[in-house]
Amino acid sequence: MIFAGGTRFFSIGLSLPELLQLDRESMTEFWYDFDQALFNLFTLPLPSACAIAGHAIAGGTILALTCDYRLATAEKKLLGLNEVKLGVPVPYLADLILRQTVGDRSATELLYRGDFIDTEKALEIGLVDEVYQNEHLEERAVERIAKIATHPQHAFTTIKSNRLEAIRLRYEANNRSKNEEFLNCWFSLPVQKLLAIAAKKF
Amino acid sequence: MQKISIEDKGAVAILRLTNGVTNAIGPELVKDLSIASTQIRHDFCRWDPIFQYRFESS
Repeated sequence: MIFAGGTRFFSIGLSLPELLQLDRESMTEFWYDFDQALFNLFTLPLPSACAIAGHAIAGGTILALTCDYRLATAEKKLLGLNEVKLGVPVPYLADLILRQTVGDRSATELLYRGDFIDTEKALEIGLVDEVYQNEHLEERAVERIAKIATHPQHAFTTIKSNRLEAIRLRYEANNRSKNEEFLNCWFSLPVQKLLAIAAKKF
Repeated sequence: MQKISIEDKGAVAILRLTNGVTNAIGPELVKDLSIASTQIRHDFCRWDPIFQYRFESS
């Protein structure tokens, strides 16, 4: 499976103007659905690659992290997780995947600072695996995945499940309490003010 | 699905976000993500004994 978006934005992240209209019950439903969607993509029993042709801001980077590989454009596009600046934690699953993908030190830098990085820096720290010109990006992603897809699926699925196992077990043990922590942050008054300012940029 | 498309490239599916220029993540896009991942599992997974339980229980 190849996950793709647009050439300006792979994804700008959460639709803040829309989500800030939701009351706690509706936001809770959305957040648990989003969390489940991320988990379903992460545990897809197929090889997956994200073709990042545009900016992958916050939730955009989170979507990309659910894939086995991330291939990005050679154009100057931004990735990163700025949640801390908005007063909310990164979704627990994304935090776990990020640490496994880039290592604890780089993940900590990204999460604590909340700064965006360009694709060159993302390649350097291992957040993306390869960089291509936009016109070749999806083609290369398809080639990479098609090659892996020729392997017997039983073996691949078992190997992938082994890779995901530690994260899956931690996620299943803690995701409910982590989701509630996120929602508590989201609905705190100072954070609502920060989110409202950020929503004006949409 | 309005916010996501699935393109069949033989052995590979392309799941493409189609929610305007920004592909902002809201309730409709998340609903479509869920439908799309279900469809891809159904159409492209030939063997899924390890994940099937987790998937069905979600």
